[in-house]
Amino acid sequence: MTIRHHPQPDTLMSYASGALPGAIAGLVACHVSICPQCAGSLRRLGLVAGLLLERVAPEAYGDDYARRAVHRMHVAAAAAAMAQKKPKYQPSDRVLPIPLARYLGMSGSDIPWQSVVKGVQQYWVTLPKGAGEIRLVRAAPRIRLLAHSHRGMELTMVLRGSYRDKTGEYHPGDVSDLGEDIEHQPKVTSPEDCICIIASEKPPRYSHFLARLVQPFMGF
Amino acid sequence: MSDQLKKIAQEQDAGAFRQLFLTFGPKVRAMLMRQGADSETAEEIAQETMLAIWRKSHLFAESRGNMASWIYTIARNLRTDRVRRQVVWQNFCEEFEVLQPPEAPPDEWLAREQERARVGQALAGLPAEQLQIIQLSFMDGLTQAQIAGKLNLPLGTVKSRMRLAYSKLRGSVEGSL
Repeated sequence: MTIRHHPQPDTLMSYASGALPGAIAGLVACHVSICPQCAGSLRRLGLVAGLLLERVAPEAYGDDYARRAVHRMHVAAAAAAMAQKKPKYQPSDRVLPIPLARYLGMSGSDIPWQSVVKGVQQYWVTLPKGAGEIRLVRAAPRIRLLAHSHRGMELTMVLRGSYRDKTGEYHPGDVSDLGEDIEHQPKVTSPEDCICIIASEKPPRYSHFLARLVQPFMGF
Repeated sequence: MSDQLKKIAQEQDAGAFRQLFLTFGPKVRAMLMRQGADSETAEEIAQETMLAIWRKSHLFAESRGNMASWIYTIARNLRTDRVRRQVVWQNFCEEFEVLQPPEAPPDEWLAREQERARVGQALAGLPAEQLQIIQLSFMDGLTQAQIAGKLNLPLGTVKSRMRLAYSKLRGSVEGSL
């Protein structure tokens, strides 16, 4: 898999510092899990964070505190060694990247797709309050989605198939990290269905007034 | 520092761990308080971070990575979970599995040390306005929008300073990769 489109550097930086909205962080984690280049970037950003941490002026506590803490570590480590480890979920196919598959406890073939309009299906991922939104979208060949722009961040990652918009063509692993100002209208270019993860800080803004009217009902 | 970690890993050396705990525990606590955690939560997370280091020390020693950045990542994930109440998408070990390919060559350790030194140099050479944004981002835990608000700058300026800083950091290590 050759990945050509990556999250923006400022997006990766905010991921490394833990400051991204939960939904966006989820998509970045999915991309990083299959992209050695971004994994390397993240490692370097981790070095930056580590260097800065080393320079922080400590908020001290007493020596006795450390001794008691070490004792607690022994106790806790023994307890942890005895506790049964829950095996991590292993998806039966490779459609969903590991972070999302583990979060959902679901493989690609288990996704309960809901039909939105002919040729378009989606599945909303339930997230904690304040995280933003993640949905999986599956669109049939040649489907063109409604033109829209975004309020806040929106990232799309292709899992299967491909689509094109005015910013380029996106294949599996690619991430589109568009700003608020860009309006786009993705069109599926693959002979098979295109499956994407779309993560947004806030719901998208549709250009057409009719789409704006039906948006709340279609949840699209 | 790495010798300390080896001792902790191989001998479960409580003395070495205590030293590490005394060095980093209070720093993690200070950072979390800067990020808005109350004193009690900050202490709890700092302790738990160090406990994770103790329990996973064998993995750390094998991977030849950087301890301070692990400690940062563990504390960040705990803060995401406890303070921000959000999903931790990759727990520390998963991120670590991805970041540390098993086929790492034997001279990797040296390369990593060089990489760290170069990142340090690049960081020292950043213009003040870029370093400030990196500080606010990593140590104060602010979002891009919060940084923009605090510095009274447009969001786009914050993003572009982050990108500039990033490209300098990246340029500094390109030769060593």
